[in-house]
Amino acid sequence: MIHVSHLTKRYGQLTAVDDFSFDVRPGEIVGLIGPNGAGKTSTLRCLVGIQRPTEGTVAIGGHDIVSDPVEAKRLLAFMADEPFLFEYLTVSEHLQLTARIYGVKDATAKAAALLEELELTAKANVLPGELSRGMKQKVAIACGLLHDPAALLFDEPLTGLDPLGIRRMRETIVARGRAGGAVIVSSHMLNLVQEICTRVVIIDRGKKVADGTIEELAAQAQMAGAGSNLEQIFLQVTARDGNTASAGTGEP
Amino acid sequence: MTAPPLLYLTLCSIRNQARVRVRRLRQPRYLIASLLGLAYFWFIFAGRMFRGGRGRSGAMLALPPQVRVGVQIAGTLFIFVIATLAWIMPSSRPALAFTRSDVQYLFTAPISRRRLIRYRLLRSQLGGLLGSLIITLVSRPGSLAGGFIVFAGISIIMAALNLYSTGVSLSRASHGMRAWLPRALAGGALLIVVATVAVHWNDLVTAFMNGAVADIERLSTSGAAGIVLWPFRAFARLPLAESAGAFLAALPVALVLLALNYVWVLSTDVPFEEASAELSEKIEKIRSEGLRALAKPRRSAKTPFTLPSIGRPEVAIIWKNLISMGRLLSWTVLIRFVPMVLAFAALTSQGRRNTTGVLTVLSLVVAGLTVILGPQVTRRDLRQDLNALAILKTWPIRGAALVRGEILAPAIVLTVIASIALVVAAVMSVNAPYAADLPNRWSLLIAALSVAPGLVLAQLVAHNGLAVTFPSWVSLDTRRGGIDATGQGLLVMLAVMLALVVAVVPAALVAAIVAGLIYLLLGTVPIILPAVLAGAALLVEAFVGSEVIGAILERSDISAVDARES
Repeated sequence: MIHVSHLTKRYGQLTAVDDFSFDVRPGEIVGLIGPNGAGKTSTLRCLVGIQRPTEGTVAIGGHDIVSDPVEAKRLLAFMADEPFLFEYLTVSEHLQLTARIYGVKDATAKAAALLEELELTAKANVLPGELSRGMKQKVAIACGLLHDPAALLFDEPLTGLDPLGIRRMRETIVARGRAGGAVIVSSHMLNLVQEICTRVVIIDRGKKVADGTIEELAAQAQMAGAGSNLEQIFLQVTARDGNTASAGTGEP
Repeated sequence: MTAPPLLYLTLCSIRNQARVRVRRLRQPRYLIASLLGLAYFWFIFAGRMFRGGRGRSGAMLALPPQVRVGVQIAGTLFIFVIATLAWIMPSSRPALAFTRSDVQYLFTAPISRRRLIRYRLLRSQLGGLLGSLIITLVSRPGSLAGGFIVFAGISIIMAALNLYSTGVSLSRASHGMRAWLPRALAGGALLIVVATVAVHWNDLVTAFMNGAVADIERLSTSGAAGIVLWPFRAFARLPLAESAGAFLAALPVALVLLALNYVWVLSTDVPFEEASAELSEKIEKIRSEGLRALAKPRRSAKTPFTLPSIGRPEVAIIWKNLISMGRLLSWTVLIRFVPMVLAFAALTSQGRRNTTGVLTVLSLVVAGLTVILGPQVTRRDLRQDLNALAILKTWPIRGAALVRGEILAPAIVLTVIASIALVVAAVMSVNAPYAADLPNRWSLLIAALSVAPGLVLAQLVAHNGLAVTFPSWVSLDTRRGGIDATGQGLLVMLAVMLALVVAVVPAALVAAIVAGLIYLLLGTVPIILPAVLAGAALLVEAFVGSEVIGAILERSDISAVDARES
């Protein structure tokens, strides 16, 4: 569903993403992790069409994000770490706008169901200024899920959520994966990634340094004895000594 | 670090701000903008001052005595009204505007409340000094000494007003509803002045008509009104002093009053932290989102129409922006334009005493301002949504469709306003003695109605094109000041004017060719057909423009917008 091939993104002299390739199949939940400045956000932005790749291709459901952006974006939902809402539209108007933008059939019923599921029904006629950060996050999720996207990208989805919100978000992500969605979760919360992701891609200094299930990564990083702990794997794989920088990629 | 910490913080902030501004001159866009801004200030203010200074007598302010006295009375009344209204109609704004960093670092530090107040007062005076400098340049003093007197006088007035308003806010916070005594005193003072004016109204009108300013001055300096206005007159005298001696003579009283205000503010023991923290959040929001952050959307406003979920996506964006305009527009926003419209109307309708004639001119002024200034002022389009570009770019919409959707809402609103004003002007001109005969008037109306939408759209396309092409030039924060910001504003204005000229030329050519052909065939100069064709040409150009901007938008990198300094 999501096909990234030799993606490179440069900002002037700085190479943020360097020849990065990976795939996400329907039903997969892939964790994209890496240290600060590793290139996660640039990768996600290229994937959803906010930025244009300098080199390489990104295809969503077979549609190239650069040459066929409208069809590619129709299949996508991007949940940014900071939920952006239009300050002058109420919650239900956000859903109406999204429905029209994505051409959602039977939008009224779907919107009502989503509002109910995310406990937003009582806030349907409220402006974003009157909502807490967690509530805003829920509205952004409702907008993202309204058109039943085949590919979902979450950037730091748990930021600012309370414990109940975290649990709900986790359930939402897992449910979308089980429903056949191709999901990418970018997060620094390694316990979340370990818990919900079926596969993990580690990026460091713009390059892919590991890709596989937790067990595969542990084996490749020669850490099976450590108990398949993603945090330990992450620290070893992204170690600055360069000894294990290519673990898991199958690359020299 | 030997200076006290808060003074150190103030000085470091000023120094580093200056350094940043100087350092960014290495970037061509800031250098060009700064040079343009400097040229603007030179020609508008400083150049006028020095050119005007030549041949003058070296007076402090080049004002005839009568005018000087008149300005002093007006200044006294102005300061008096501000001071009394501060009690009678108080602002809800907290007294001390701390920044978010101030709140986080200083409120939690072992620093006394009094020192915090002193620090904030010092910071707020810096803005007053800049304002005083601009007023000094505008007032064109005749000499350097005159310039200093005007600058010092205005600075003292601004400092006093700043201290006074801070004191009022702190005192109100301290006493709450029990602050009836100062309010009663302020009301009483206002009543005395109003009563004096009412009692002597006929004398004042006669004196005003005859230019007998001395009579008005006598009224303002004698009796109860004279006593009430005395402290305010002490301040107003400073920048208007005729000589250095007069300034020095007026200075002690003003300084004593200033010191009293300072002591009053410092002696007010009131917890201001909570209100200041709230204000700092608001200021931070304004910095990131621009002045629109101040506008509170009205939830009760209805949507312009029901939006079906299936159909062209542009309509959704028009719907969104119409909601935005409806919810953020208020009577207070509209009232801001009334003085401008009335001033234009007064200037252009001189000598026309009949009501319909004045209304005709007024309507034409509204139509003209709407078409010419409307696209600059009404920013409910891509300029508003530059912050949201990361979200808009994830939508499955072609760039051109997005641009058209964004532009059409303000275009519709402005066209409707201009059209109504044009129709009113045409109807009102029926009985106007200077009006053209009926057929011509309606022809002109149809011609104007045909061209107006194209002109509005062409400008909106230019503005939005600039926002997409050079996002760093389009400031979201209209409060952002500085020479380079002025220069950037000028550059944007020039670019839009140039784009408008480029758009109008082909349309005018089409109109001229068609008009010429008809004249050759029929021997008469038509109005409607060339205007309709010119309007259509402008619409086509706007459409092509939206396609071009859409393509640029699709290729544009969001990082360019992220890097925008607003």
